[in-house]
Formats: sequence, C-alpha cells, structure tokens
Amino acid sequence: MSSEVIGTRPLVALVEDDASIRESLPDLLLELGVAVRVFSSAEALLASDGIADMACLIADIGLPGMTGFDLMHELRVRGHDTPMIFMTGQTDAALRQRLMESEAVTTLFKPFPEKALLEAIVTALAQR
Amino acid sequence: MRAKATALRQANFSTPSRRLIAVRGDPDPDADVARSLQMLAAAIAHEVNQPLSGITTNASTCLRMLSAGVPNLDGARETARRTLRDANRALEIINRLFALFTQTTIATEPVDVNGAVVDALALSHCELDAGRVSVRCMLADHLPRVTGDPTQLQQVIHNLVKNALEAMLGIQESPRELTIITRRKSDDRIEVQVRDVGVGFRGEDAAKLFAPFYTTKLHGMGIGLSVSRSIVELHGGRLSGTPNDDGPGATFALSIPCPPR
Repeated sequence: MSSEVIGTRPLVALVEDDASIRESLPDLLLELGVAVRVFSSAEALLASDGIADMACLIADIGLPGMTGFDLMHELRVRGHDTPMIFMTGQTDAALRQRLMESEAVTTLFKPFPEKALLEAIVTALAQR
Repeated sequence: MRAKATALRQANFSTPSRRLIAVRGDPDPDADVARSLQMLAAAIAHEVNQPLSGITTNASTCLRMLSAGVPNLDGARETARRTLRDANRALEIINRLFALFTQTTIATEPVDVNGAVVDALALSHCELDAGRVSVRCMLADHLPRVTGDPTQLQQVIHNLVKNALEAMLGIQESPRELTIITRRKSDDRIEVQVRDVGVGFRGEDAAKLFAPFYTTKLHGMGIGLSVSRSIVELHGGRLSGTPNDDGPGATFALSIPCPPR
C-alpha cells in the first residue's frame, strides 16, 4: 500500500493490551480501508502526538492502568471529542449496562463479526 | 501425599462456597453455589473470548486478503498462522482450567527455591520490561532444597510477580520496584517474599484476596491467589499477603518446609 493511499484514509487509533487482538485487528482495519495507529495502553495514547488527527478511537474497556472509561474522560477533559468505540470480552451485566449508558458510539463484544466492526466505524466517522 | 491430594480436590469444590459465604454473609448455600458457578462461567467466557476474538478477526482478514483482485498470499498465510496460534491459546486455557479443577497429585522432587524464583522472573521478563519495573533480587546462599513440584512452585512465584506488576501499572510518579527475597525463615522453613510498591490493599481485605473469583482487576479470573494458596498448602506451606507498613504496596510471602540443619 502506498503512502498516498494512507494519507487519504481516515485514521483510526486502536488501544488494546491483548497481544492477539493488537496484532490481528490492525490488519482487518487496513483491509476495511482505514489507516491505523496502535497503542498498548491508554497512557501511551495520551502521551502520543497527533490525537487531533484521529478520526475515531477503538479501545478495550479493561486496559491495565487507565481503563477505556478513564481514557474517554481524560480525552474529553483535554477538549478532544474523538468518537469512541469500546470493546470488551466481559459478559458482566452491570458492565454492559454501564457501556450502553456511556457516550461511546457503541460497544463491540468480543468476539465480534467484521460487519459489526465496519458498522461501528461508519457510525463513528459520520459523527466527525 | 495421596490423602492430602484428595483433601485438596474436595477443598477445591467446597471451599469457594464457604469462603464466599464468609465474605458476603449470605445464609443461603444454594444461592451461593449458583453465584459461584455464574462467576466461574463469566470468568471462563472472558478468558476464552480474547483468543476467540483473535481467531474471528484473523479469519476475516484472511478471507479478504484471498478475495482481493490480486490475492495477498503472504498476508493470508500469516493470518492463518495467527488463527492457529490463537486457537491453541484458547485450548491451553481450557486445559489449564481442567487441570486446575481435577488436580489429584503433585510431583515430588527436590526443588531449588532460588532457581524457581529465577525461572519465574524469566517467564515475566517481557512484561516486567514493558511495565518499566526494576527488579531487585536478594536470594540467600546455601538454601536447602525443598520437596515439591518445581513447575507448580514456579507458577506460584510467577503469579505473585504478575500480581505485583499489575498492582504497579497505575503508578506513574514514582519508580516501579519489585523486590524478591529468599531466606531461611526458621530452622525448618524457607520463605520467599515478593514485595511491590503498587496500589496495595486494606488490611481488612487480606482474607478476601485469597477467596476464589475475588478480583480487583478488570482482566483476570480472580483465581490466581486462591490456586496459589492451594498449591502452597499442598506443599505443607503457607501463603499470606500484608500491606507494607513502611511505604506503599504489599508483600506476599510464601513459606515452605525444608529439612532442618
């Protein structure tokens, strides 16, 4: 893929501590036509430059250290309104309720089909 | 040893409910067992959902790479390899759980405790590096060997190291320090201390920490400390945790019988 193509693609940031997902999801996102930046923690994303260039953010809820909720809160405090998509492998009912009530675009429950991912991204990008 | 092992097997099934009753003060044992099973099912689902997620994502990517106008064969091969790896990871989780709940015997051979510490640290090497944790080892010379299962004892120490690391991940302002000490605690006991400077816990929560399915982490099944304690007790030893009294964090100590001098 040439750099010109990446330049025109919306940039999606992925924050995930699980290695298999951190490795597999970027390839699928590239296949779906977006550019990707990958971070293994919320802290790493917050310390990075170019947050303003991120068209949308996909974050696992159960990150070590700052959670996905903490990350969203911190971004809002810093004035970033980047649309967020949460992911979780948890089945806990109380957590599901909290996720549904959050202002995230949607939550992807692992394992999720490609179609759900694509729909979430389209919805998120439309919010920009 | 066999009698003890049977006792552990029974304990594996009877202790969770007893402990949960103690923690929650719930007088209805049936409701309590149901809740334990529910928590176990949720914990297993979470553990297995991670590799499953890797499998579906890699398989989707693989199909797309093969269906492109010019198929990306190298990419497809790589994603197929990852699919297999994640399937193996899921299988390992299931096998580990199965072993955990059906364990009947332990191997008994002479174990070098310092060697177990070194091996356990080697297992966590990458995570400790990534978490920018500095490790200090103070291992006593001339410790006698203890009798037990080297893999299991190493697993217990590895669990304690992992807990220590995770307790320190939120610490940003001060250095993340892990200290491991081995020493002869008394004439007939060897002690391993794993000390962190992490979030710690309240003294009154000390008993809860070892209850099955109790966890303070978003990831994690809450079985690490409970299983670790079972393993240590099977070796005739003790495992305890105390908040540090001279600073932040906690210290977990396991002591195991050794031949007297």
